[in-house]
Amino acid sequence: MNAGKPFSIRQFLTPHWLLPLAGLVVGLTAVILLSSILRPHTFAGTLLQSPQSAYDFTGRGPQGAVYRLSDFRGKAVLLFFGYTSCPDICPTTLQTLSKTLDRLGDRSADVQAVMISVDPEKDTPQRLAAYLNHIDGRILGLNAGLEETANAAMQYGVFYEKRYFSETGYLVDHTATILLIDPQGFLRVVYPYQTNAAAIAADVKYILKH
Amino acid sequence: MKWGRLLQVFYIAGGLLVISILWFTTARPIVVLPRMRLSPGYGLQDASNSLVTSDQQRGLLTLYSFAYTRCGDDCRSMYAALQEIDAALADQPTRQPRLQFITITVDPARDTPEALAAFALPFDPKTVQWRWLTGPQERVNAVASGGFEVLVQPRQDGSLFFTPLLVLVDGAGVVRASFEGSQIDSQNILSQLALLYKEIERSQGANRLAYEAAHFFACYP
Repeated sequence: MNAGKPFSIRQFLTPHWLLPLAGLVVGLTAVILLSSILRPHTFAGTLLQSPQSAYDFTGRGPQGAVYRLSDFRGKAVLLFFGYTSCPDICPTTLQTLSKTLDRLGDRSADVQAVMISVDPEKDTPQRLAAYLNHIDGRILGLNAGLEETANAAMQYGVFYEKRYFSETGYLVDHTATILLIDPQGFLRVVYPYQTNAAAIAADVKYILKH
Repeated sequence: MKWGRLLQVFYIAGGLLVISILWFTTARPIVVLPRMRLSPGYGLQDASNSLVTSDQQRGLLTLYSFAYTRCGDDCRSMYAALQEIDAALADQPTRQPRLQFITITVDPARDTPEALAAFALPFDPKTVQWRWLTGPQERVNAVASGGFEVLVQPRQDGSLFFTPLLVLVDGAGVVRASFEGSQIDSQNILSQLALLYKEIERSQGANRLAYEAAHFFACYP
């Protein structure tokens, strides 16, 4: 058929072939890139779209200094309700918070992890600080007092109640969600217990970026 | 010339993407109920004096309402709406998660667990479990007024004035719809409930992304 016409690479790669092919590759790459930029991030927890600012709680931190949620405007806040005598759920969740901060690397400077005690009668600011320093000194422990703890917990969908197993010994049953508040002070994501740190860190990065 | 062609393809691809996003946001092939806010955390007592907590409602759909056992005319239309919803759901017994009604009393001083146990429900629900909750006055006030934002005021005749309100909360404890006053209409509530069921049933696997996009682009009814 083409016996008198040897195969030529230059002929094969004529603009007639190359341009549409290259155009297709570039076009597909553009679509994939644009899609990944415009595609909504899939959050590991439940995303909220509340137009109201998150409840502006107040509590006493190390050395009795008073902190409000609004003090952290400009930073993302990872909030958890727990207590120092908590046998299992709190240490696990605090480890998750610690690992999340580790995974964020330099961006962890833009994040404040906070634990509000659900046992404010026992968990003095000093006790909280000593306990949290043992796990991760970057997590701020707050004693919000009885009334404010009840208010804050209710507003953040957290239930807690003391359950006595002896005359003086008790545990505090409590909701173990982690709450992500964005740098503008809006509650954005709620994570159920045992959400992994990598997934939370990815969400925090997204929130900080957008 | 070569670059001109490449740019042409790039523009077409980008244009198609923008058109598809515009189509998604205007034609709204998927409509979702907004994730409005977190439902308040609580621990209250039911008629058998057992502790009922917000955590126990995870995984269920809950329609919260607010009333008191002595409530007469003020509650009649709300009870009628609940009865119609219950009757309509009798035709869809396999829908999961199941819907439950929780009524939080706005008169906890009188509506003790004992009083709730003696109280005959305004109608006998066919499919929906209906519980009334009470507790210490301060705690109930905090949940009803502070959490669900129900305004309650005593009238001179001993009855209570309060905002009729129904709040639909999903299995994650997120408020997905609230119905106040004239919005308390069983057809309206059932149509929003149907949207929520549709989302729960369909937002699995790859479809989840499309549903998240619907939330992202606020494709609300």
